[in-house]
Amino acid sequence: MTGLRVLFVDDEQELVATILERLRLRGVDATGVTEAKEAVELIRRERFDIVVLDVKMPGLGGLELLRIIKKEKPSLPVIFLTGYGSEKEAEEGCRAGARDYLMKPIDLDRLLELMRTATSDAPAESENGAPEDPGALAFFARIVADFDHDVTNVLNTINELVGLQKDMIGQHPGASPAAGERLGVLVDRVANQVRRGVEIVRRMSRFAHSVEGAEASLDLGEAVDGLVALAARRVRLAGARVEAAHPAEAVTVRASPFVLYEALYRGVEACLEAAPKLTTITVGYERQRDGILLFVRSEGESGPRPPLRPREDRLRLLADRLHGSIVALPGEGHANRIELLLPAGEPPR
Amino acid sequence: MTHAMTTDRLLLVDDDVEFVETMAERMRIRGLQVDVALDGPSALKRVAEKDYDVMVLDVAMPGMSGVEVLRRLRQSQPSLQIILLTGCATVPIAVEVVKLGAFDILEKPADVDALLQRIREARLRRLAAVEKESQERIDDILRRRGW
Repeated sequence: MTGLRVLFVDDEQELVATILERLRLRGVDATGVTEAKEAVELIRRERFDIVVLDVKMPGLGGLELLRIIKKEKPSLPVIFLTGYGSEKEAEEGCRAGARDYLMKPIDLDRLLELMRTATSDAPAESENGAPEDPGALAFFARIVADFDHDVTNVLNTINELVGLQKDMIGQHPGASPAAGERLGVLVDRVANQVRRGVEIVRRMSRFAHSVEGAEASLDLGEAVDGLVALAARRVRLAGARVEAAHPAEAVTVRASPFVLYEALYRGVEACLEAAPKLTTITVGYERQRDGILLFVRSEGESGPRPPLRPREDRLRLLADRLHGSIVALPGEGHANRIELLLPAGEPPR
Repeated sequence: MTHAMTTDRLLLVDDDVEFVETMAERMRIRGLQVDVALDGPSALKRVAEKDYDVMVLDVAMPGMSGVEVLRRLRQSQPSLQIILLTGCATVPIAVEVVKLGAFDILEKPADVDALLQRIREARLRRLAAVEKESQERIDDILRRRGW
C-alpha cells in the first residue's frame, strides 16, 4: 500500500483529519478535502490512484461527484462511504461505476483491503494521461488473434492451391497432362484468395488505426458494418452468425471509434454468454426521441443468466466513455439484448 | 491400378471450403480415396455411414471444435485414426488431443507429402488395431466354445 495516492472526501473535518493520519501511518499518501467542489479541482489537477468519498455531503453529493469523476477520469476507482440509512445511495453508486462501498464507522483494515483490491484491477494511467487500459488491450489482442487466424487461413489456402498447380504441372505421376485449362482456373482461385486477404488486411488496418482515435464524427452505419466483420469469426466459432441492421439514413455520432468498436464487441460477447444456443446476433442502431439507440440483439435459445458482473462493469465504463448510458442488459428482463443510448447531438464536453 | 480395398480412405474436415477441397484434390492425385466434411456434425455423420482409415481434422471450427469431434469419436470409432491440423498449436491443446487418443497433431501449413506420410503411418496403426480387435473376437469365440 506504500505510495498509494488516495483522495479522501468527507464533509466531517474531524473524521477526515483522523483518517488521513491513520492512513499516512500505514504508508499511504493521503490527501483529504471536505467539499466535493474542492475534490473536483484536485482530481483535475493532480494524479490519484483512488478516491474514497462520502455518499451524503451537502451541496454536490457523492453520487454527483462520482458522475463527474467517471466522466473526467473513467479509470479512477472510487469507493463510497455510507452511514446507516444511506445504503441505497451506495448501491446506486456501485451501479453507476463505484468499485465498492464501506459502512461507517470505518474499519480501517477493511478500507485498506478494498483500496488494495480496487487499485490492483484498475486500469493504469500513463504519464500523458492516456489510459493504459488492460481491458482495451485484451480486446485489441482478441481482434488481432482473429485477424492472425483469418490471414493464416488465406495463406494456407494459397499454399495448397500453388501446391496443386505444381502437382498438375506434372511433378506428380498421378497428374493429368492435359491440364492447361485447369491451371488457368487454379490461378483464378489464387487471385480470389489474394482479394480475400486484401479485404481482411484493409479491415484490420481500419481497426488498428482506430486505436489512435480521439473522438471524431463517425458514420454509425460504417462502424456497425466494421464491427460485424470483426466479430464474424468469434460468432461463427460459437455456431451462430452476426449481421448488421441499420436504417438507410446516415447517422453520425461523435465518439472514439475504438471505444465504439469495443462496446459493440463486448455486447456481442455478452449475448453469446447469455444464450449459448444462439442462431443470430444483430448489431445495429435506430433513432429515438431522446437519442440514438445502439443495440446488440440475439435470437435463439437463452440459457441461465451468466455471471455478467465484470463484463457489465466494462460495458458501463464504455457507455460512459461514449457519453451514453446502458438501457438494457441480459437478465434485466431483456433476455438477449444489450442496448446503449447515445446522445443524438454533440456530447457534453 | 490400386485396388479399392487397399486404398487409404481419408476424411478431410475443415470449415474453409477452398482449403479443404484443394487439399482433397492433392490427396486424390496421390491415390487416396478422399471425402470432405465442412463441420463437426457432418464429419460425425460421414463416419457413421462409411468406413474411413484416417481422418484429418481442423481444430478450430464453428459450432463443434475438432477436439470435440475427436472426443465423440473415441467412443464410437476406436480404431479410426485421427490427425489434427491447427493454425496455432498450443501445448495444452496438443496434450489434450494426445490424451484423447489422436494419432498426431500437425501445424498448418503442413507439407502435403509429410502429411501423406503420417496418414500412411496412421493407416498402418489402424490396420493393426482392426487386426487386434478381430483376433480378440476370435479368441473370445474360441474361449466361449471351449475350443
